[in-house]
Amino acid sequence: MTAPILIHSFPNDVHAAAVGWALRQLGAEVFFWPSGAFPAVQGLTTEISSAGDVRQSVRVQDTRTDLPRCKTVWHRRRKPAFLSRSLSPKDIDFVERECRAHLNSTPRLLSPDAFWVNPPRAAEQDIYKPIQLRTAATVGFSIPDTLFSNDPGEIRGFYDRHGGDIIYKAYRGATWAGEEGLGDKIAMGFTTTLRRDDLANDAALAAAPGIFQRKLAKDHEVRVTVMGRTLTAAKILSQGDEATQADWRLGYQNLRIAPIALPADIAAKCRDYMERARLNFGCFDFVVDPNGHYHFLEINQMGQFLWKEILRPDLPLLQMFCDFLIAADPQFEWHERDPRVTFKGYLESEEGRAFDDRIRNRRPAPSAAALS
Amino acid sequence: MSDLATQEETRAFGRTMARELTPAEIDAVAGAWSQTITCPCQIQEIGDDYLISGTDDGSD
Repeated sequence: MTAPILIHSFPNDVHAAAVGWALRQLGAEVFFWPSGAFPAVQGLTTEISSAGDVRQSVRVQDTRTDLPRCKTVWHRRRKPAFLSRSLSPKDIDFVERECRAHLNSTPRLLSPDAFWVNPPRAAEQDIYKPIQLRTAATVGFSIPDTLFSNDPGEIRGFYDRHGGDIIYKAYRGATWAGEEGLGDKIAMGFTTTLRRDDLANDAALAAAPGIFQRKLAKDHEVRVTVMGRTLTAAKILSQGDEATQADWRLGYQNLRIAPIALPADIAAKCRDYMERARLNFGCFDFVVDPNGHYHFLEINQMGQFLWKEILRPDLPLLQMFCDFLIAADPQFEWHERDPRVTFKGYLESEEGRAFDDRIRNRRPAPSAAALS
Repeated sequence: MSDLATQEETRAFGRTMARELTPAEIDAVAGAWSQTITCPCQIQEIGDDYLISGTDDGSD
């Protein structure tokens, strides 16, 4: 039996579900380790013998399974601790710290010789946007002036120095649900153009740091999905619709994208960045100004990519990503061919329809059954 | 600026600038992209007796 490909993500992650389905269609063995249930309903064990041998197991409800030695680990989405509401508030800090230590250390002992997408240390390092920008500048990308701060005076000074032409974004994608007054709405953070009035509340600004960045003139945007040495670039036509001018995610429904060939120097810099950051996979976001110059915004080390295949079925990203995981090669180069698996195919499959039904109707995921 | 910023309770700037979207609006604007980051189902699948703690290590 060949070593399996391990997928670590939460059960309602459509990327993990589609890739797991597609890998099985291609004959690969898949082990799905669900995140997001530890410690409330998931047991997670690491045993190290006096000889240094490591055994790790995961239990969901009554099902316990040893984590296998894997060929490839797709470290897709690790969720934070899930605590019981019955836990004493006096113990929450302690429990959170212990859970964090356990969750951080477990993957580092898991299949150390496997091909990791992405290696944990590289992934952890690269989620920090200031580090990204420094690395981007080092490889020669143009980057916008950026302030990371919770100091109201610094933030307003930055606003004034740039003539009020700045945007705000958070370090991390953020959502709020279940608040009084929100009802069934979800508050979501997007990149936002700022006005002076937005910066009036010192307590709000000081409460948490934010990213404040010079607003770039945009002709269009480009997202580059990198798998090993393979770069798939798409032009995002975000400026024709007011809703998507600051953040194209706000207009996904009407978004238009088109595959492009990257300028050779930009492609070389993307590869240089990946090598310096020790990443095997990532999604770069660029703004292209009216003069055709590329400006690096960020890289998402575990970015979403199947949405591009939905908008452009001629971008066979599901097949490409499965080939990448199966190849287990940081130098992976994809050779174009007709895809055997597609995201559309997954969504139309029995498994895909069941997933969609579960999401739309908020049915429970079969967490325990996923442990195989 | 949202009213949230002027209430007595201090809300973080990021929350005051967040867009409040209905589930239908989220579906409409974000489509398949949103399923992986906004779906509240994970809370429901485990039950309302649990709290999520800490920060997701997700990425857009």
